[in-house]
Amino acid sequence: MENWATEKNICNKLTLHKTYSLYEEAIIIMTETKPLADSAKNYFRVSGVISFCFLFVVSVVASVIFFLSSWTVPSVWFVLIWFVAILILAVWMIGIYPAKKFEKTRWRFDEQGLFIYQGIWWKVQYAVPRSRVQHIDVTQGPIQRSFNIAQLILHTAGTINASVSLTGLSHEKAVEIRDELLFQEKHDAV
Amino acid sequence: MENEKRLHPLSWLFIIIEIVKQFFFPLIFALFAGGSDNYQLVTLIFIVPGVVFAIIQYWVYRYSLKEHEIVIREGVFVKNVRHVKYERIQNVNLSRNPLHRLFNVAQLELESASGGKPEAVMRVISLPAVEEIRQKVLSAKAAVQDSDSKDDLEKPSVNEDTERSILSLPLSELIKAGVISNKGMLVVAAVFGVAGQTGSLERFFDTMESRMNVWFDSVQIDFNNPVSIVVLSILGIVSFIILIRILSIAFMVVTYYGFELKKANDKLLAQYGLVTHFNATVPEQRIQLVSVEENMLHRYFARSAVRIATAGGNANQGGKSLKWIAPIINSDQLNKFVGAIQPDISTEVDSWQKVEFSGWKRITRVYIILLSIIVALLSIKIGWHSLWFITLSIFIVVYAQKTVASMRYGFSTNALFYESGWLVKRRTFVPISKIQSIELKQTPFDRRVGMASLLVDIAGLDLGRHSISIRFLKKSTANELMSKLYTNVSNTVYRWK
Repeated sequence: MENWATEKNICNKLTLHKTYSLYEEAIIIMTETKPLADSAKNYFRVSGVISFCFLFVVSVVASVIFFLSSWTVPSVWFVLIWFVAILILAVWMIGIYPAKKFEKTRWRFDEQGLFIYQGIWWKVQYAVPRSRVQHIDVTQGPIQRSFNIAQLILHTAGTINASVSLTGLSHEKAVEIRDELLFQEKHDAV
Repeated sequence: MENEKRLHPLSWLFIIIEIVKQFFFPLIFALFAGGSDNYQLVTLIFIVPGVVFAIIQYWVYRYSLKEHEIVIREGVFVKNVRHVKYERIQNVNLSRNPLHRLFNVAQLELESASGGKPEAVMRVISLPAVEEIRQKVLSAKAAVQDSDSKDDLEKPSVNEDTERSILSLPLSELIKAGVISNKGMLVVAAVFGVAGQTGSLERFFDTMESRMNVWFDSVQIDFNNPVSIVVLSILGIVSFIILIRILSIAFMVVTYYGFELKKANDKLLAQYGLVTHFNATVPEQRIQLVSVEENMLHRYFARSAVRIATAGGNANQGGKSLKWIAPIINSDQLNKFVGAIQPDISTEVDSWQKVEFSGWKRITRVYIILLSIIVALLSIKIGWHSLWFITLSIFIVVYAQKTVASMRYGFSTNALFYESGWLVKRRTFVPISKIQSIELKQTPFDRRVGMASLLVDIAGLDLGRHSISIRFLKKSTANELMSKLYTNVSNTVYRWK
């Protein structure tokens, strides 16, 4: 019971404001959480371009094989619809999605642990307390390296969320968080 | 190396049996399905090298009991040396089928918290050797606990005379459990699986059809008449339910015959089984979740069933660890029982909180859409009669309202409780210190109505079983709950032992 009386975070602020609104929630999120590294936006965009190119090539190859094998010429309508669909996909995957993803991903690392906000349509929040972190990975792919972006993965003893990952931190920040968690772990063990 | 031990000399026999068991269904298939002789040949090709390999594996398997760890050396081509600290071993499970008992040996499984396969499966090992390992594991654990509390290092760690029985199930209770449970479905599914493979299922239905015509000769069966269809389906359902109950009783009696749960210091020891004897040791600190289940028959007989989740022995990987710690228990004794298996956890919930009742509309919407699709499909087959099924929507509304009304959650001083279900009532609690992480989810449907759901992750969670996953929370309530949990969990320390 004592523990619950001393809680000091969002919870109290929320209970104070009985007239709680979306606006206030936005304020709290803005003041207490941090965005990803600035270069993460560009990184998301580049990976968007890559996955779009992949889909584009696959769909071109599939249609070519289909029309070659049935030995027909695609109708004007088909080409038009295909073209529009590809265009919408390009706008979404390169123009909108990376920016949205960057905007909607926020995190907070404090004495409690790591808190993550993610998701555009399916919104998810993860809270991983410091004392529950079993081990930590900081990984960097080749494209991530060129943007100085890293992926921080926290492993817990849990089942569904046995590993919680956050992509888009600057490499320095990810290493900083890892080192702090490791430092604390050593002190816990003593 | 000195002090290295081998498995029991008869191990090869049990290894062969294990392999033949694995190929049992293919063998049956080969025998019954007939076909060409190739099947038998193929199974032989698989079995013989398997047996030879297994015997070599036994030949090279060595273990030694060191002061703080057990060292296992195994492997024929790839040598593998595994060090497992006694204190990291979560569960010690023992199983003995009649053959084991004949030779006075057992199969031993040591499970760590990794949640995957057991850390070591010793197949098979003599009983004195089992006792030696068990003593090592249990005393090491006690020693660590003592050094944690630091005040009494010299305290004798194992004190057997404090052992007391907290639950033993006589045959009458097991029969009751069988009547209550739906375990017979498993047996039916297994039988259908085998029968379906061998094609005897079709023959069965063929004979049934011809018999039915004789039995119901006097009854006018007209498959275009909805009344006959209804009467026939009711008859079928009733006989199916009776069959399932009989199978359930058999299942319960065979699995849990002679069930006894004992408590020695802070360890729980369970033994049960008619044909194969199981023997499981679970330190109460390892219990991550306790769930009480009551279906309508449970409530009629004033009984409950209690399930636990432990960190080792992930049920999703088919571990043998104890899951139903009380397959059936008198509901009056429930509080005492939970208090005995989790003495440090308070079960007094301060105040139960309800979820948003308007959630019933969302459940209703989903089911109504499903129902409309079914009605539309059926109308092709049976015409306007399918419209009768629309009356089911009344049941859907009642079901949805009752279901949402039954969902509630609350805190005791050191645990989080969640209860849901109306036909089958389930109440689950997780000690705050056992919570690993918290997740708050909002689907687009949630956002339309300003709701969210909250998930609590623990070690050894049984996927698909009742756990703390609270739907239909108001967004602001969910946020509050999450930060409250986050603060509380952060203030506790997770201990493996």
